[in-house]
Amino acid sequence: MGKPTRETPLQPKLESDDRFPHLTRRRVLAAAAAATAAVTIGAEPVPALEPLSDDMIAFKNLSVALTGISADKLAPATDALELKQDYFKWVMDRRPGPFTTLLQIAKANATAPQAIVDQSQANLDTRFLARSIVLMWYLGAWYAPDDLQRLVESRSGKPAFISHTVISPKAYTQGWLWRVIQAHPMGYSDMQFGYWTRKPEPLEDFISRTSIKGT
Amino acid sequence: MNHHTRLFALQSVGLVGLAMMIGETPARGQAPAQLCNTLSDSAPDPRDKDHPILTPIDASTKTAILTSGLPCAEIMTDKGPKGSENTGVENRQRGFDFYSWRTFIALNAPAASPNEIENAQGDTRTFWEDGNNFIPLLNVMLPGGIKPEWTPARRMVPAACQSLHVLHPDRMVVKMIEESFNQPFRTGPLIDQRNNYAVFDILMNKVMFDYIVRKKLYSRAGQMSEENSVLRVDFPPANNASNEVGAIMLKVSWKILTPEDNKNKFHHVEALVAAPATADEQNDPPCLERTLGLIGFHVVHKTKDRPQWIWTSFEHVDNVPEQKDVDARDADPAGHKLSSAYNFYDPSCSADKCPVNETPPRPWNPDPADKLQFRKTADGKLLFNSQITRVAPLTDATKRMNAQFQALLGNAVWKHYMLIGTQWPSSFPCSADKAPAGMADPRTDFEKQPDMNCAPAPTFMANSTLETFSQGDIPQASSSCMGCHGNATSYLRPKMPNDAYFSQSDFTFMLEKAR
Repeated sequence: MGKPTRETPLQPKLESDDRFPHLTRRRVLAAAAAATAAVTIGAEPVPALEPLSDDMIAFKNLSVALTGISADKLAPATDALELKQDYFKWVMDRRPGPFTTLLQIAKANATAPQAIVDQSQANLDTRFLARSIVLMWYLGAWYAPDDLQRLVESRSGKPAFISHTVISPKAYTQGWLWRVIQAHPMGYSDMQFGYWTRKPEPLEDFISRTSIKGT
Repeated sequence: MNHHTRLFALQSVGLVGLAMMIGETPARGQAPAQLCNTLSDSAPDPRDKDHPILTPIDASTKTAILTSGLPCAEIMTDKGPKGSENTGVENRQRGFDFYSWRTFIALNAPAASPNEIENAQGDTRTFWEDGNNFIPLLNVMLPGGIKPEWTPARRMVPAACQSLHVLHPDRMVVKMIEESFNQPFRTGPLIDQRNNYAVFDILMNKVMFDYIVRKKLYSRAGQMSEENSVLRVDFPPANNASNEVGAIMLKVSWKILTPEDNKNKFHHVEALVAAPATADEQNDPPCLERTLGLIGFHVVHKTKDRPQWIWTSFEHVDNVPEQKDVDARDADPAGHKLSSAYNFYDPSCSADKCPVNETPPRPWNPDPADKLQFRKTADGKLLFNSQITRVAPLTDATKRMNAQFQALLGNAVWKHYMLIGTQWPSSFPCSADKAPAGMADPRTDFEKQPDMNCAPAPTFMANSTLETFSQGDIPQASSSCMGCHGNATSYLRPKMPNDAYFSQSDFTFMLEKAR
C-alpha cells in the first residue's frame, strides 16, 4: 500500500473478495456507522511507556505499511498518546502467534512496505489479523480476525453481523477515520470553536502535513 | 527597559560560569545580555551528540537556579543522558518541568528581594502578589465595562471592604464571585477539613493587561466594536532571545487558615475577602478578614514557540493523598500508612462514610451568614467536608524533580509545595506553525485541524484543588488545560459570517468576563 495522496487518500490494494475493495470516505463512514451497533468499551490497563524495542519498531513499520499513514503521524518520535503501545499490547494479548509472524515479516522487510503487505496476505492467520490491525488504527476498535474471516466467507449469503470492541476512550478519539474524512468523532473535537462555519482545512492538515507554514 | 526586564537583569547575575547549562550562549566576545532565565535541564555533550548531560539540581547549581529569574521560554530536548531509557516525551517533559519549577521560584520569590527565596517565610510577599506585577481579573473586567487602571492604588475595592482597606491598605483584597468558590463549569465547591470553602482567584501580568487595554477587550462593547471585527486575539508571547516576558495568567487557590492550622507551613496572606453577593443582591455581602494559605498555583505562559501556552500546576504537599496510596492503605493498613492529616482528606474516615471526590449537597452558594463556612445542619452539626484523592499519581520523574527542588529551597516555606505537572503541545511541527516574522499567528495556529492544541502532553492534568471534580482520563470530560481552554471564546463579532476567527479568544476565558 502506498502513501496516501490528497486526491485518493486511501486505496489499499486488497483482494477482490474483500468486503471493502476501496476504502472511500463513504465506505469508511458506512463501516463506522455499522460499528456503533454493538459497542463495548475495553478496559485494558495502559502499559507503561517504553523505549522502542525491535518489536515495537517492527509494529510501527507494519502499521505504516498496512494503513498508508506516514510514520511521523502514526507514531511520532515525541508521542504523547502512545497508541502504538496500547495497540501492540492489545494484539499480542489476543493473537500472539500470528502477530509474531507479522512482526517477523515487518522486520525482514523494514524498507519494503509493499512486501510487508503482500507477505501478510500469504496465509489466513496473518491476512485477517492484518485487517484487524488496519481497522484498529482507523476506527480505534477491535474486530476479531475470525469475525473478519467469517464476514468474507459469508459473502454469498446475507452479510454476517460482527461485533467489535472500542479499545479505549483514547482510541475512540484518535481513530484515523476521522482525519481521513476531515471530521471528528461524535462528542469529541479539538478543532477551534466556530470551525463548523468554514470549509474543512485541506486533507493534508489532517493526515500528513509536517511542514511549517509561512516558510 | 520595563520593570520586569530590569528585575530579571538583576536576577541574571549568577549566571556567569554556568555556560554549560545555558541554552543560548552569546557568541565569543559578545557581551552577555541575558535577562530571561535561560538555564536548561541539560547541556549537549560535545563527545556524544545523542546523549546530553543533565544539569544537576543540587548545591552546585543552587545559586543559579534560585536567583536567575523567570524563564521566558522552555528549553528542552527529546534526548536523554547516556543509559537513560526515557522516551522522547519523557525527556521533553523533564525540560518543561524544569522550566515550571524555575517559573514557580521566580514568581514566588520575595517581591522586595527576588534573590532571597531561600529565606522566604510564610508571610513574605511574593513577586506575583505585588500589585505592580500582577492584577486580579476582577480589577480588569469592571462593572459597566469601564477602562481599568494598572496603578495599584487606583484599583477598585469592593464597597464592603473599603473601610477596612483604609485601615489595612497592604492586605490582599479578594472579591468573591461564583468562580471564586465554584470550580470550572460549575462542577462544585471544595470544602476543607475545617469546613471552610476553598477560595480561587485569577490574575494576569502587565503584558496581558496592556494588550487587553490596548485592544479595548475589557468591555463587551469594546470586544463587539467595529474596530475589533477584524481582530485576531493574539497575546504577546515570551521570547528568550529578545528578553520578552510575554503574557502570563495565574489561577490560585487558597485555604482559609484557622488557629488549628500550622500557618508557617503555608505561604499565607492577610486578606480582606468580599463575600459573594446574595442571590437577590439586596444586601451588601460582608467583608471578612481572613488568613489565606496558598494551596494551588496555576501558571499559564505564552511563549514564542508554544502558541497554545505552557500550563504549569503546583500544589501544597498536604492537600490530598494519591488514590493508589489510599488503596494500598486499605489493602494493608499496617504496611501502608498515610499522613495523619490532609487539607482535603480525612484519613480516619472510611470510604463508606466519606466517599471520595464527591461534590457537596446543594445549594453550593456560601451563605453570607456562615462567613465562608459550609452550612451546618439545623442542630449545628457538620454537613459536609470534601474527601478528595488525587486520581492520577505524579510520575516518578516529577516526584524526583520535586524532591531536588524542595531540597534546594532549604527552610523556605516553598519547600512545602510540589509540581503536579506541566502540559505542553507535543506535536512540534504543528505547534511551530507560525508567521514568518516569528510571532504566533492565530490564523495558522488555531485554525489547525484536527487538533488546534497540537497533542497536549500529558493528555490530562488536574490540580486537586482547582479541577477537583474533573480528574481522570475521559476525553472531553476530564481535565486537560489546553483541551478546555481551546474552547474559550470572546464577544468578538467578525464581519464575515465565515470568518476564521469566530469569537476567538487565544486560550483564555478571561475575555468572557468582560461586562
